[in-house]
Amino acid sequence: MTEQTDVVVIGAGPAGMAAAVAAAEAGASVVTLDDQPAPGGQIWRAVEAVAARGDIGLFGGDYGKGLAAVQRFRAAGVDYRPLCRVVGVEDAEDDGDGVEDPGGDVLYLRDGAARRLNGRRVIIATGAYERPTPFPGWTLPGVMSLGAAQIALKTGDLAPQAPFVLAGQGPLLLLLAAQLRAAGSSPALILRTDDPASRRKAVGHGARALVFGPDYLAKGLRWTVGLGPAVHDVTALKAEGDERLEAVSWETARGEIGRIDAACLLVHDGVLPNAQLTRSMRARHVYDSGAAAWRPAASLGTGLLDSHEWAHVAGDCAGVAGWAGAMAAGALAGQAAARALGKAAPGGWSGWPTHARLARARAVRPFLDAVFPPARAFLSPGDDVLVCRCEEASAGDIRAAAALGAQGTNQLKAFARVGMGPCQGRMCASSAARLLADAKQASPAHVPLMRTRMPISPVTLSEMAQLNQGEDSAPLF
Amino acid sequence: MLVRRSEPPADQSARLYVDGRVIAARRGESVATALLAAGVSPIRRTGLSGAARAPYCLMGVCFECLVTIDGQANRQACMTPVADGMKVETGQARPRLNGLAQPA
Amino acid sequence: MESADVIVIGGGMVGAAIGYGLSRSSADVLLLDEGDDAIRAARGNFGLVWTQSKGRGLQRYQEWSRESAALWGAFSEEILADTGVATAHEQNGGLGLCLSESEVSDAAALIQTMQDQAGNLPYEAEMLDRQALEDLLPGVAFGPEVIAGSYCVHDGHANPLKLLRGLHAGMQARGGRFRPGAQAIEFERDGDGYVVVAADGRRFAADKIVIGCGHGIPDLAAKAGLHCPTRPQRGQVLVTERVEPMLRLPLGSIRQTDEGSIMMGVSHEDVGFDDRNTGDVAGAIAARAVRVLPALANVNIVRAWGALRVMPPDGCPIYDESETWPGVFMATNHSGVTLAAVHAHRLPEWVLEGRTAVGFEQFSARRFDGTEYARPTL
Repeated sequence: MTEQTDVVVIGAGPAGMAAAVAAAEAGASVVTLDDQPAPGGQIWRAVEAVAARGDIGLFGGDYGKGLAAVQRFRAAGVDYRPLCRVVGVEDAEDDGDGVEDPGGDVLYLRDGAARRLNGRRVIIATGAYERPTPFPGWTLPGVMSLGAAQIALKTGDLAPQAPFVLAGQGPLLLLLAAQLRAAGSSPALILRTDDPASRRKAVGHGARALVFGPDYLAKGLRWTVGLGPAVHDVTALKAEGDERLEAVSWETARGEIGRIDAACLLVHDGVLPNAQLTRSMRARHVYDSGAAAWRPAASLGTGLLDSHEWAHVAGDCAGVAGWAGAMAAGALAGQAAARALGKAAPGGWSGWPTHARLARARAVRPFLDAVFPPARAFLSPGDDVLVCRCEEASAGDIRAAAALGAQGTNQLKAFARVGMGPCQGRMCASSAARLLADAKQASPAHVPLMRTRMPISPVTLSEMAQLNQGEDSAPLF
Repeated sequence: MLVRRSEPPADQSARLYVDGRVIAARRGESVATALLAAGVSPIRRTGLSGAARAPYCLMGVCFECLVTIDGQANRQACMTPVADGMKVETGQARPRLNGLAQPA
Repeated sequence: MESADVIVIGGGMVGAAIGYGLSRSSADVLLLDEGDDAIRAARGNFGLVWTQSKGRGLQRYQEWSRESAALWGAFSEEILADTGVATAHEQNGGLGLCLSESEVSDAAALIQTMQDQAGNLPYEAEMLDRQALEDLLPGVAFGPEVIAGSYCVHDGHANPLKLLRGLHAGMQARGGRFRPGAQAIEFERDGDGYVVVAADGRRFAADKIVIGCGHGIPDLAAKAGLHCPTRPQRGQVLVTERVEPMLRLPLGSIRQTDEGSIMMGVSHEDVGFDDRNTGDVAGAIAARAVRVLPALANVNIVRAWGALRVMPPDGCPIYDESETWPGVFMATNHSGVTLAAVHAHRLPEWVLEGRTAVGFEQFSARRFDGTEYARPTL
């Protein structure tokens, strides 16, 4: 017998926690599956542990709000299951008992076994991850994403080894630089890849952003002041070293070149929705050209997927909009799921403030997307730059496959093994699709990302065997 | 690559055995950050070319931090919280099947 | 308008092998293929070169499979010489393992049936008991439930993606032209020849056409008066991370690839055109694999897929030339890797000169006349 619950929430970041709380307060039974050991997602990662050691102040005001959110989540009567890795979501098995609203089955790993959990509604809140940045030497030990440094600081109280370099653009670059400075660690250099031309073009969006997101812009201004030596308008980046990073070199749009010794290089070029799970479900995805990212097609007000009547998305995995937007979207999805199951919060539906918060969070995105489009430094890697890190396939391999007739990213898997490794395209799909689009002289909107499939993360044979419910497997073969 | 800002108090510490030597870890962190703090590099070598690799994202997306933990090969160190006495082996591209395919 | 002597429709395992074979003759070949989101059964191929289970009820198919297996080595060498692509072909025997007495008796019964069917012709598969299995594969620790296996010395495997790449590269190296993104949707008569019309409006002219596009054949071939009663049949496969070499022979549903990964399968499901993979089948495949090779218990499955075999009603290939559109041919089967050698070496002379071996007409769809799979009458 498959375990059942009203609502399964996947993820315990801002959106996942808000969705679980909203559904639970409406009277639904809720199970949250979180692959982390404690709630908070990425932005509020390890917030309880950081608070316990007295370091909340290092990370700024937004992080502190996370503690209240986690405390409310823990008190909401949700069955919270940490260290549970979801590897697939599929149509509910037909038990033949005529149950209405059978919903979906979530396949997840826990304690050495793969398990099946049925939810009449499933809310996917898998967040976002940093846009991959292929450049020469990016696979060297010592080169990490900016978010990795933040995670290391929060969970391990680790700082980058001096001398270290930050490279990239966007609000998170400025935020992390400020957090590291507060922690006593300053970068030897900041290589800014933002394009001044983008800033000028974004003025039109800026007015709207000022009305709806003044706090965002004020934060940006605060963070920029006093950060340390910076090089602007960087258009090429290289990590040098034999078996680990030893130096970073760069070139600017004006043709200036430079080089600096470095023990650590942290890179950031914006974030992408984590759509591995929704793509594995064959949900319809759309290309958001402003954000230069694919996201699942879903209703704005409820997060319900266009393609599945029982599955919602909420938060950054549905389109990056920051933590406040994620909480609003999560609450809306949780309320919608509960309503669909005939449950309602005491006191009725109070959707209007949440809709407004979501709208405000989304309103600032076009401005940010316009100021920080994907950086030129990583758009067109040289032929010998690795794009698929797992299978060691280069940009040149991808261009060669395109010349041989590879029409899209799925064929690229067969031609050049791109996307065949354990990351299943997380680190390479967006870059590979862009290279194919360039080869076809088409927009990335016409080069969908390769199919992902259950399991979206590795599962051992003995774990997978636990899903076998039949006694006699022979008839299959 | 990364350095500890402070050592954890004794009740927040854990010991890991990494390639036979003891390293100190902070309770609640992942095996990946413990390895980085101890200066273990590379974490693994790629199967195809033997290139040196180390953690990149620390959040389960990049699959660079693959190590053998308590005999289980190719586990993501960043998704595994440290536990006292854990045995970690780095550098294995392919799981050993205990010699010529003998069962474990 | 582009023209050729022969247009092959379909760039999968069947079309590419025929295209390659035609390019090795004096014919000028044009190969048309669909876009990136086509069903592409070839993407899901398990990679077996397998004869022991082929052709129950149609002895000609058993012989056709054996003929292809015999040609495969030379075929692989030709591809290497023409393109530098190695197919990782090995043909040192293949095993089907039995984990219960009823599986043993089913396997033994099949061997008996095939031997009776073959009569005086050789059919070389035999049952091996546990001890014989261990002698054949010393160092492989089979699980305790492995009782016996059926073994055929002619069986083996290859890397299907490398084979496909080699076929394409070989065809183009020999002057064949490849046109991807061209989905054939219509035929027109054009004097003594034909024109193929693609969905994007492109037109291609040829004296002859070979329709080898798998799941696309039934609808397309009907426009040229050909009947193709195939249906999709799903198979699911799990693939592990690379492990140290441990399995030198393919086990029918478990084989180790040349790159070191272990592939496991293979289900047979009637679910229409649904190529999703599912948790219950993945669980069943994994459970069985661990019973066969317990050492795999802690090995990671890194990907899985479902793919749709192109399945004729009796499992045997269908090769036909249209009566109303002479010079338009179709070729379909579910064993594209095994038959790749004969598709490259024997079908071109059928297409170009009408030359076939004795009994080839048994592969026509006319064998379904009088059954529920017969050509529909209007």
